Amino acid sequence: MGGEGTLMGNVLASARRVMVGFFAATLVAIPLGIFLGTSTFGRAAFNPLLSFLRPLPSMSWIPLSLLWFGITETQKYSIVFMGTFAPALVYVIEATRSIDPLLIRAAQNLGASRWQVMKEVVLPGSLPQIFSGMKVILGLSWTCVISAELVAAREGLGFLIMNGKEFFQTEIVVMGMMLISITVLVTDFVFRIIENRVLKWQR
Amino acid sequence: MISIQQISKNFGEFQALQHVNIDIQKGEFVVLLGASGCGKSTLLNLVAGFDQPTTGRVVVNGREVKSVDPHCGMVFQQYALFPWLTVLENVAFGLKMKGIARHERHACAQRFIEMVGLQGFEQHFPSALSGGMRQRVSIARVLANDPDVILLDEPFAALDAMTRQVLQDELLQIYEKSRKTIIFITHSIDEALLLSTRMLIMSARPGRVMTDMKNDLPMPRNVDVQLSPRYNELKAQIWDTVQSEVMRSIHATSH
Repeated sequence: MGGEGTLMGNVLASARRVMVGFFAATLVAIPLGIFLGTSTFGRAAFNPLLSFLRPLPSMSWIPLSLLWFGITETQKYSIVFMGTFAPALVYVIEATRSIDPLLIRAAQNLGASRWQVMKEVVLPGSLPQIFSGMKVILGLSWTCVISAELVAAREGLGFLIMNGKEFFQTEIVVMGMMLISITVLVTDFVFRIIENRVLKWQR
Repeated sequence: MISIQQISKNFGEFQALQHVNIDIQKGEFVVLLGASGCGKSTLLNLVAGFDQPTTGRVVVNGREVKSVDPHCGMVFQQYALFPWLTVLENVAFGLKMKGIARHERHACAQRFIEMVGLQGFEQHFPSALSGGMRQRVSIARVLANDPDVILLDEPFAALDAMTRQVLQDELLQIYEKSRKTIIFITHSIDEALLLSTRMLIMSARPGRVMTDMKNDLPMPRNVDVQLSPRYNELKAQIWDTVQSEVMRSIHATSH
């Protein structure tokens, strides 16, 4: 059972993979989702691709990502990205639908252009729904990372419990699982603090 | 100033407006008066450019309305304030859209917040305000944008009677100070008489302007005008016109 440094190293390795993949996916999904949510034409054009991507479980991307990137960090990031991008996009598009159309009228009436309506009304107005969707996506990111690490990795929490299993070290396996749970709880807590800051008008 | 020419508007089979012609001069306070379902909101939405007429056209300041036009500022019955912005930011919204610098637009918004009596509430979010205060913010937001025409769609209908009276008084003062052209929708004869310089009484199915009537009650006005004999004369006159129309529409809907 490795020292504390390696334990922490495994936690950090997984956390970094989650963060990079999660932020990459949301950074693309939020603007794209807002555009698609406000553009019937955009939705029509993008829907076939989205319908193809959406049913694919994150696990199904693992073989392809290994062929493309090998057992590298990029491969882990790509698993998280591909596993979360489509559901994140669907969440954002749905969130834009929750906006009161009257607010969009009011903004146009006050001189907002199409771009300004998206930036000043649709984005802030759908942010509560986007946040609650992102919480689910963050959980999903962890699932992606752990499954990627279970299949092929040299470090990380998934690697830790898989390695424990190889050596019949049940205590390592259980501890790894507890660490996953604790890490997810901590990230969720941090996420909630950020959410409360950003959405202070909702209280 | 505003010219509504041969407007008809159909929603599928239903004819909401039929051959409506109205000319409104600069500085008039026009009240569209009618029972619910007579197409008055539809007409206002056409003037604001939210919707396009089936036939005919709307011309504001010599330009035909083809899309949403910021020259006609709209005050909605449901306030339509942005819940994520403070009072100050809500009032400054239109100025921000024009690209006016933060300091300047906040200074301007501050003036209108004071005009509607909301100083001290600049940093509040709309959710912390009462209905009357929210509608004041909405009015300040439109005024700050300095439109040529202000459109109000039953702005006080959701408020309690006392708050409504206070806001009616304030709107009169704003009108006298700014001399903006105003189109105001209501189904209250009292509200129409108190506020307007001209009243257009609409009939339903299809929506048409039935009577075009000048309101000669003296300006400046306040709620006391409701006690004058001339007020009651006009009120009786309007009621005569409206009564038969209301009866007709009640019969039409009960069958």
